[in-house]
Amino acid sequence: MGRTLTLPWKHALSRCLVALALAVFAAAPAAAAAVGCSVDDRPGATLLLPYFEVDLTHADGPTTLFSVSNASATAVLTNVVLWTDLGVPTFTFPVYLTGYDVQTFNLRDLFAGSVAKTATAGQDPSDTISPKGIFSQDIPFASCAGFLPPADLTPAVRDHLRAAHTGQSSAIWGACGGQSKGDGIARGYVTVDTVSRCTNLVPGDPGYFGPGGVATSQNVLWGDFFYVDPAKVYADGENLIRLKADPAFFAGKRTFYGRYVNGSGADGRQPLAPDWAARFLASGAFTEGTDLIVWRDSGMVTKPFPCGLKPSWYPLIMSSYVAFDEDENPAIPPTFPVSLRFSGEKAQPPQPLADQLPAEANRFQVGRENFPVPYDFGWIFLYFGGYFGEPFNPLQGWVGTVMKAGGRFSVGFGATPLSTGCAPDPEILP
Amino acid sequence: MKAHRAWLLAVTVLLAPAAALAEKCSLDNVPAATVLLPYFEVDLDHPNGKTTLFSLNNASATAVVTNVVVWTDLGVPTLSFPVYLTGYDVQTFNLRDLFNGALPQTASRGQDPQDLLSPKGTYSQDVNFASCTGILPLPPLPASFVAHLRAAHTGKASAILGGCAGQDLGDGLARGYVTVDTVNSCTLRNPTFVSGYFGPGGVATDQNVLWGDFMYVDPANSYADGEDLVRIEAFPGGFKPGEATFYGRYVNGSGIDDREPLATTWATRYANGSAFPTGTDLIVWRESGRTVNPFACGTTPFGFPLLAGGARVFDEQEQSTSTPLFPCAPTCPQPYPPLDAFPAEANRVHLGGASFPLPFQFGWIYLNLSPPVSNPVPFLQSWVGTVMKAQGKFSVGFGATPLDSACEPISFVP
Repeated sequence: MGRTLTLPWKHALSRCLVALALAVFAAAPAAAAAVGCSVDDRPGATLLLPYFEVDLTHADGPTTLFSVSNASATAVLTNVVLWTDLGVPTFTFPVYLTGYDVQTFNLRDLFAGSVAKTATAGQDPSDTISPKGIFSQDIPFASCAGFLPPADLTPAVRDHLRAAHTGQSSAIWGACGGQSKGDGIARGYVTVDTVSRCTNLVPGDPGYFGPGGVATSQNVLWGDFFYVDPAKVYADGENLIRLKADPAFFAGKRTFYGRYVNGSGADGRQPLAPDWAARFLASGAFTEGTDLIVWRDSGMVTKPFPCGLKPSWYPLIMSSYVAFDEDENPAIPPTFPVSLRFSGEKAQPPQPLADQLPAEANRFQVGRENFPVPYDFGWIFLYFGGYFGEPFNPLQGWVGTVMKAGGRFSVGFGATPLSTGCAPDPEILP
Repeated sequence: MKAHRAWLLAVTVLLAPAAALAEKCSLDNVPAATVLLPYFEVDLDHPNGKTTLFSLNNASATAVVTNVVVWTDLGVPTLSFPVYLTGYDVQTFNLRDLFNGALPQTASRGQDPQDLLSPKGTYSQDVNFASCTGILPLPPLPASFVAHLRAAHTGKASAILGGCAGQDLGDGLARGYVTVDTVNSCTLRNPTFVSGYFGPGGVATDQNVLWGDFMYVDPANSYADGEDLVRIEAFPGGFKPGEATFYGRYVNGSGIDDREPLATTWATRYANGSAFPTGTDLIVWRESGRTVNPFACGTTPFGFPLLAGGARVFDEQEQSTSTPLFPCAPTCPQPYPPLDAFPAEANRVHLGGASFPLPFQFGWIYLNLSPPVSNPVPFLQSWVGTVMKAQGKFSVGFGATPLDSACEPISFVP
């Protein structure tokens, strides 16, 4: 005969199950899985939003949303860093996540001066800012006193952000930090790292990675991002890029933050791939063609620079670029003398130059602007590389594809990496 | 000088083998020997209704033959056909064409000496596959076979199968999923064949060169969303008997298919309000762990509906509700979320609807799709995608987050 559990039984059992669940999860977190060089969608210690755009001149113009989630029952602290499209960090703020927490962001809010509000148990004893569920840990981080909950931005900092991300002079820096395209759109990218304490540091600062550094190797972060254009009724999205950490495995190897740790591998983060394949459609149902979202590594630590100039590495070039049509006819940048390969009906069109993706965070329309292709349909092979001779040659990148149909819909998804960033084929290194 | 170097590098890179650095059991997007379209739907009653597109690409300069297999949502194969790809080729498909009897037109060099069907570019190989003579180019499907396809994928009786093969949801939508394998010859076999497909002398190869994407398009409602085809890499000899592989259910758990398995446990966000008032759909492909044969109409094949191993729904404050973890007496509340919310191998389920009611507007779901099973398949693998929709405005699709691999399943629900 079955026995109906009484309330005390249920509560006791529930408590046991909660304790057991927490214990099991703590004992077998996602980080227990082997970390190799393949970047997949399992939770990581760093998230990358590869490109963002926020139209600062039109309230219903394009904006970028993203979410950061904690896959574990254990509370974690994260450090969110905004970078310009040329890789200059402009702003950092901590985000505290209770176990299994989700925090969503609209970057338009940040450029309006509002910072996401979270707080650990120490700063939020009544759980009004960062509440938690019964399976979630909520603990104090004493280092966050004075950091969390974050205050909204002062007008000076807000103006600094708006200027730095539109390529204008930042009064705080007295210099520029990004490309100026004159369209009022703030551009850049975002990284989110797990950290052990609240900090103003960013990757590249002493004390961020390595022994005693604030960065941790908790592979628990996941999330997604959306590009939303309310006026044109477009939205598309993709998973944030998840970079798993394993400092022992990556010691001395290529890593995601290699440029900030002198190639030591101390950050322990997986690098991205150098070679990518992406389909494009520039006709048919997708009347507005295909945009490529491209994040790439300059290989250098970039600091604010005098307005009117650019960082020493600018523009980034591509080691190779080939556009294929659906019959596999290739179009590659011309050699000298100019090839007449595309004679006849398809006379050789203007060819893309090697610097068409010049920044660290880029969005370009295939077939238009500065990225002509001679075909309406096909795919593009991209190989990122450089000629700087740096010890950590700037090979890694990430590519996404957005296909748009005028006023109807857009479809976004990641492109295809053709290898990993750990050991690019030495035959193709410059 | 730089332009010269760029050109040389391009050629060198293109000659390099693709995906030489693959890692077993990672779920990354590098080219693979099998690609999976986890779910498709085609509205057979409305020519301007929903359909599913996908592309199949060859990442290598070497020509390959692939075997496309169409499965019902319950996992019964209904059609297979070869597609030949020259080096770096792209072949696009609209599954509506298939249900109208039109198959993609490709042919290897022997069947297409003038390069009219499968032309190639400067860097692409185009070779003869003698086994494809008489098979490629594919003829249109006869009317009787079209009727079989349309019936089988809408849960009706198929005269060719002598029974039913899918769920009958009564909405005129053909549903199912598609796998594409690299093979060494044109074949009429599919992965369910006990011999001749995988293993020594089998047609399936381990060429990790396939990539592609898929799109769900709803022209009438101006929706479209898409994602990469799921890439399943092959590792020759990489899996021992008893280890999970993608086709493990068809090779008696021997591992001879060499294909890495997918995950068992997933995390996915949902939004059911605000900018997404039309809510969230989950696309769920999962294996039943067995070979499914046609069955008598009006019945359900053994093992169905498939059950979840467990699930927990969180809101954004981490409040949660879940399936019970112990046998429940009659007075206990209904299991939540329902354990049979994803009953088929290929599913599209609206969150917040009758089959998966949501207690919260926003949050995320922890989903374990591997209930306890016996050998030879130790764990049941799956793939989950998310589609968030705003009525008449837009939809956004992306893959959910795998929390493990079936190589190292975590078998845990908080």
